[in-house]
Amino acid sequence: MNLDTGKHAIIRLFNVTKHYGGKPALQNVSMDILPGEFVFVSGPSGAGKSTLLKVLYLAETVSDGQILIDGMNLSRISPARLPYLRRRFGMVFQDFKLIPTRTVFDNVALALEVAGKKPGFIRKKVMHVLRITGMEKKAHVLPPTLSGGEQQRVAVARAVAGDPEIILADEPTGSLDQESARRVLEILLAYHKKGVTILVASHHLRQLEAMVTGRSIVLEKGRLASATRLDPYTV
Amino acid sequence: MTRYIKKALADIRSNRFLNLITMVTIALSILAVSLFFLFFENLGRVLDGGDQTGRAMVYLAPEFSEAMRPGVESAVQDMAGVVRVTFVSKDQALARLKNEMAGSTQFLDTLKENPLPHALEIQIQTRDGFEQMAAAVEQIESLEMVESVEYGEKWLARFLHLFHLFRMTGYMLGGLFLLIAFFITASTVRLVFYTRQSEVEIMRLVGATDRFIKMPFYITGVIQGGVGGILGLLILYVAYLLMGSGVSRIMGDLFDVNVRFLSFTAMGGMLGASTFLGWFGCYLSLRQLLK
Repeated sequence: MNLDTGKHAIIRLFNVTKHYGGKPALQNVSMDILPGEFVFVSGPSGAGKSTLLKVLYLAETVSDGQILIDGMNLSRISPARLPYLRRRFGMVFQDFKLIPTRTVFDNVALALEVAGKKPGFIRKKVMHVLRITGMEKKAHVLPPTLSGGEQQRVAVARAVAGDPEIILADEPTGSLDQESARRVLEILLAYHKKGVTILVASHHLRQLEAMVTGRSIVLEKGRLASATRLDPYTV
Repeated sequence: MTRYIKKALADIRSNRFLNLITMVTIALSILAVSLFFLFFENLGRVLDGGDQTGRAMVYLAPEFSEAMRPGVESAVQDMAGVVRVTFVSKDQALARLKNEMAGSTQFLDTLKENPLPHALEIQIQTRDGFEQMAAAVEQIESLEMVESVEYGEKWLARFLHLFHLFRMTGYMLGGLFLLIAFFITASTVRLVFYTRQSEVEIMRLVGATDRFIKMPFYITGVIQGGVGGILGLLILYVAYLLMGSGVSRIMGDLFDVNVRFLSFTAMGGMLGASTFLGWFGCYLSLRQLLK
């Protein structure tokens, strides 16, 4: 952890440890992530990648250590403030986490509805992000009728709809074919270029690393094993 | 709020079966409770419309003379609960006895002296129950010139106790039905919640507040309660239309009172209770589920 970069970091982890029933999932992980950075978190299954993202959006609380998001200490955040913190994140999951009984439009609109946006604004914004993700024509279908790649693009559309400062993507291409994975990554890359901070946890990083400038962090048995800067790549 | 209402209606549509079960359960409970209300409202009208007084005979002492009559009559009349006082002289009493015994009055003709006492026939208010009558009788008995008072206390006490027991049973059964409806509503909310648990989890992940999650459930509960209440009252009204005329005829013959449907106040009360029931079932379930 660099103290100088830390001053400007949007995400700071200080000796973060997380245990599940005495078994460590993260051990003394410290790192700073700067605004607009693209960070890849890799490592074998069970290395703690998903846990790292979960403690960031407070799906799990840390057993020890501290996390600061834009200077806000997550251990001190009240349950009532938690939803407002989460609205600053856009989240993408391997299993998409779409509501099967709601249309594509409604799934994406949810991210704006929870923030209390007006219906007119929601309509325009949802159609805009669906256009960007190439899902505009599928706005009124139900997610189960879509392919995995399409569902993930809807999930990405929902993640970016609220103009988040940080996007956390947990194995976003894990269950997708190569072409679908490429399209999802292109969308994330487009938002990265707009200045959004992105953390992608995946154990298939070759394709990702070949597309973007960023930082690669490797976790092993819950510990930070290495951190390398990736070479610039022009898509 | 419009958004929450739309969401609640969409939720009801997507969980038609469970919502229908809840509404029917509330409807049946409201039907049962309304039936009790209908019965007690009409019974109340019978009691209001009928004679709410008890009859008692005040037997006067042998020393009583006609000259004392105005004083004794007014003393009895002034007692709390006494509605009417009629003097029955010993001669009138004997004439009545002869009249009632019809053909077997020869032995009465052999009497040298009239053995019957002067008496006061009184009507006592019984609206507030047997105790009111007993208290009035006790006061009358303490008066000078009063020998004894007879008012069929055993029969009256039994009747009044039976009536109170019946009313209490009605209230308890009504409360029980509402309680059952409440538990079923709360359980159904739980079932609906479990079917939507992943949806709620997703809502939370994208930053939904508890209020955002709960409001559609509450509105659904209010709709379920309201619709269930209306349905229950409608079923009762249809049953009333189909059977009311027959029951009315019997009631008319017996008590000179027609059966009427629930008053607007009672219907409003039932509807309010069912709506509250729907909301409260939701409230308690969600309080536990969203801890």
